[in-house]
Amino acid sequence: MMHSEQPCAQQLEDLQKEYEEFAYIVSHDLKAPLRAISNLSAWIAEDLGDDLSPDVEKNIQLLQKRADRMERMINGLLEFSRVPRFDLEVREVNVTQLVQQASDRVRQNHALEIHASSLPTLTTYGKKLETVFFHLLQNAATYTQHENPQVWISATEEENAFLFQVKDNGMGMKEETLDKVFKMFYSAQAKDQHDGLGVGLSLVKKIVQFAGGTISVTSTLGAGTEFQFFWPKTVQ
Amino acid sequence: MDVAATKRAFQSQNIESPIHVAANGKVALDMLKGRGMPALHPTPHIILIDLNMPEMGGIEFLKELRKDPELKACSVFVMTGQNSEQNVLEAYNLNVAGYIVKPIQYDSFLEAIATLHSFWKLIELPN
Repeated sequence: MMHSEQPCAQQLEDLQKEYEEFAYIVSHDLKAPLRAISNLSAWIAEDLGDDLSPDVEKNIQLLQKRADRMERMINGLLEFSRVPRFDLEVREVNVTQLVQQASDRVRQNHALEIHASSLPTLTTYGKKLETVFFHLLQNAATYTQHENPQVWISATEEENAFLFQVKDNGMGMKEETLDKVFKMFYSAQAKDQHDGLGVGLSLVKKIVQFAGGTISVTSTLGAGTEFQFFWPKTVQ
Repeated sequence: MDVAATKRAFQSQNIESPIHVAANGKVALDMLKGRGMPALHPTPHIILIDLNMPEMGGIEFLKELRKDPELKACSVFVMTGQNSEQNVLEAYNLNVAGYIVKPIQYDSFLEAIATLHSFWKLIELPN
């Protein structure tokens, strides 16, 4: 037995080391040149002062916006890579309260009415489940043109898992985009219409899978979107 | 890049405090302690450091600094590109006065320096 366990432990350690290195490269090495680009363009604008033509000013602003976007993409990538390693605390979670916390965060920047019914209490990765609800609610609040954006959340108890349903009255999506929404950096909306990065749902899927569940989506263009996910009752 | 940014921010905020620059933690200690060169006088009481530096990084620098009776009272601010939980904890365990993640935008950096400047004006520092 010792022979097979030894390389396995070694492999795990190597993988962890590799991960640390990856996270460091992403968070540090990729951001440093980006900060330089952003700073230098700000200085060029500052130094030109009154000689700055409106065209150049506009281009510099665009350049800085893109640098910002790239920073947020890097942060998204980092958060994605952290799923199996961070927020692993398991505790008793009252999902009603959890949804409340997540919606409070969303409502800091968006209008959103939430109808939650018969949500359970279970012992699980509390922070992770909150992150899932946060991104689903955030999406519902962002991708809508409805004057009164609403979300309905319900849960059904199955043998080994709870089936959560999160349904909104947002703008909905075309059938052909549905299988792409969980992809990293994919956004169903054009970039100039929304500031979304296409990180939220890929993170949601990664978390649900990490917890041992599955997620699916159905949508009607112009009427709304519904996410359904199974979340295991117990942590394996 | 960071040195240029800091100097520029000091200038635009009219901060007249002299800036001494060291390439890494070891050089900074040499300058503070006067090893192989005359020690900086007066001793700077405010130190801005990055964590990731060649030869001697920020955490190691802090450990050495806190061991030195003449220098251990210095206010040290970490200004770095990364906010790993472990680094933040390690830095505060070494009594840093603040841990600041360098923003991407120069405007935000400028704000951070302005905030630090008001803080420095507010607090009493040892002589």
